[in-house]
Amino acid sequence: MEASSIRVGILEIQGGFSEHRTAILKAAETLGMKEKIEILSVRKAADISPALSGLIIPGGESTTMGLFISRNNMASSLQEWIQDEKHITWGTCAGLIMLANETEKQKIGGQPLIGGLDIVVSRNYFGRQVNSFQEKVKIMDKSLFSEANIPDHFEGVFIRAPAVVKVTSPKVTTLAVLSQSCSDNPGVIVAVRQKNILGTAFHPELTEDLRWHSYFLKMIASVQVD
Amino acid sequence: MSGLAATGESDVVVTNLTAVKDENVSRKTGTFKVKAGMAQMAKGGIIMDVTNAEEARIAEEAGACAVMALERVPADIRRQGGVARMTDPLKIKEIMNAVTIPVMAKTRIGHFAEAQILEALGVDMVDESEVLTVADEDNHIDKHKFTVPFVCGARDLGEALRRISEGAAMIRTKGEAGTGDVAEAVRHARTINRQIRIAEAMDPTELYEYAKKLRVPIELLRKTAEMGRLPVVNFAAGGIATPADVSLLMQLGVDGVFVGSGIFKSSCPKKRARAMAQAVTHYNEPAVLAQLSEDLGEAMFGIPHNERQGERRREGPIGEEMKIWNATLNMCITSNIYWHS
Repeated sequence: MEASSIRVGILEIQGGFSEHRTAILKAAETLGMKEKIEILSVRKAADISPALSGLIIPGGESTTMGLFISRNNMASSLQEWIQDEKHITWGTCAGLIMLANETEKQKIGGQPLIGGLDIVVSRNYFGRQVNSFQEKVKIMDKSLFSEANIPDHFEGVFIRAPAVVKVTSPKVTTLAVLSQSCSDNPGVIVAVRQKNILGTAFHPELTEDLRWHSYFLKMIASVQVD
Repeated sequence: MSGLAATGESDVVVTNLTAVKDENVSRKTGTFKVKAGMAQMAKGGIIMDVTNAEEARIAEEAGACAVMALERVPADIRRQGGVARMTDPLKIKEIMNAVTIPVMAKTRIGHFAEAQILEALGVDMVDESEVLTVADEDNHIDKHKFTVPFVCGARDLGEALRRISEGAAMIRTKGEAGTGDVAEAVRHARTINRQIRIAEAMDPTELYEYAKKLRVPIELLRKTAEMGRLPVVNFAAGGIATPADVSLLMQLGVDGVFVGSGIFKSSCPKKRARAMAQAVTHYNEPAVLAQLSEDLGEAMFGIPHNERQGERRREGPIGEEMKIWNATLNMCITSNIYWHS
């Protein structure tokens, strides 16, 4: 019997989508997954099919993506697809904004979003491009540690990045924070998971470290087994 | 300006090619990764020239991924003549306050003081642009010293790699801004592609000679040949006026497009802006492009290439074609023959 394949869609409206493609393929190879990984580009409503097991919403401009989604009638199919718990979705940076149920600092008149995560996200939380930065984020979930049970950090690349300013449901798990030096500050939340939905404010696809892409693939694989 | 960027440690770092480094410093701003990353997040997008808050809002609502804040669009700079300089900071601030998408602004070539002012204003990217009057005939800005990322124009691979070695985080074709004629942008995109293919076909020994001919650092040329593309994001610019123009350039392999005069010099800017923004994503679907191109009103009037001859120095003392083949066929090119490149 030939090896089964896993289809991962990447929302290729605008932004850093080719980097995710490269990183996912590298991660799959590193994990030595027995399933073949197929990457499909999602540019219209018809591309959002039940055949997809995973979907990545990349970084870019959330206003650009949101307007495109509403003008091309993709919102309801995306929302339906994402709500199915067998489907794993991951949003990075602008993708996290698209997946948040509430967003602060939207453009004048508001902007179309997809939703799914019970969080409040603030756009451009750290400021403009001159305030964009690299910093080690503190990982809270041990399945993301580079070696099991050793608390670890990940080089976060934050580009005009958002942050999670509020979690509005106990279903949301914090996966990573920007650790502050003082102890009474719990740190800014920059990565969350709510069941089948993953969101990161930073860009793992701009680094060599494949842990987040592997984590995403493992989420998909665990659903397939069930 | 960031002290870190100034140490020069931030040579070109390509996506997914570098290892994580530096354990101790916590927050690092202005790294090349963050600057080039800004351009990477603009890919597949359209960046529009705007001259006031109202136009900026139209661009944002159309789906632009960034705007370029200008006092005059290139078509007006061409027509009115005179020295073209950095835009009034008040105007830039007005535009920055009107939209949430990134705002870029232009500095004259070599005018690092204008660039410092733009950085202090907090613009998201600086365009060291040939559309404005050249401030330094010999030197471009040392862009490594800045926290803000730069985009620079290029007509060929040599220019592109020289700008990258000076710290540019993004490249765009020069095209012929303000004309509504896409011919030069096409020529520049094709030239860069062709020269990359030539570099890819060369063996490692030949690359040294080609680097000399193109007057670029060998490491950058090697990286380009290895990747089969420019090592930073590359947009098309200059004369793009219709959704079909967008598709043409995207199919030639650029990562996105700039539209200058093409939108606000047309008869229905809102509709055209929206159609062109959609065209960047749908560039490969002629049927969708047909719908998008419908009933957009008149495109900018434009000045075709053959009516521009003699209007200004075109490509410097030798033609573009000769320049490429001279470089390619290892014929002797001496210095100082390029026009401020």
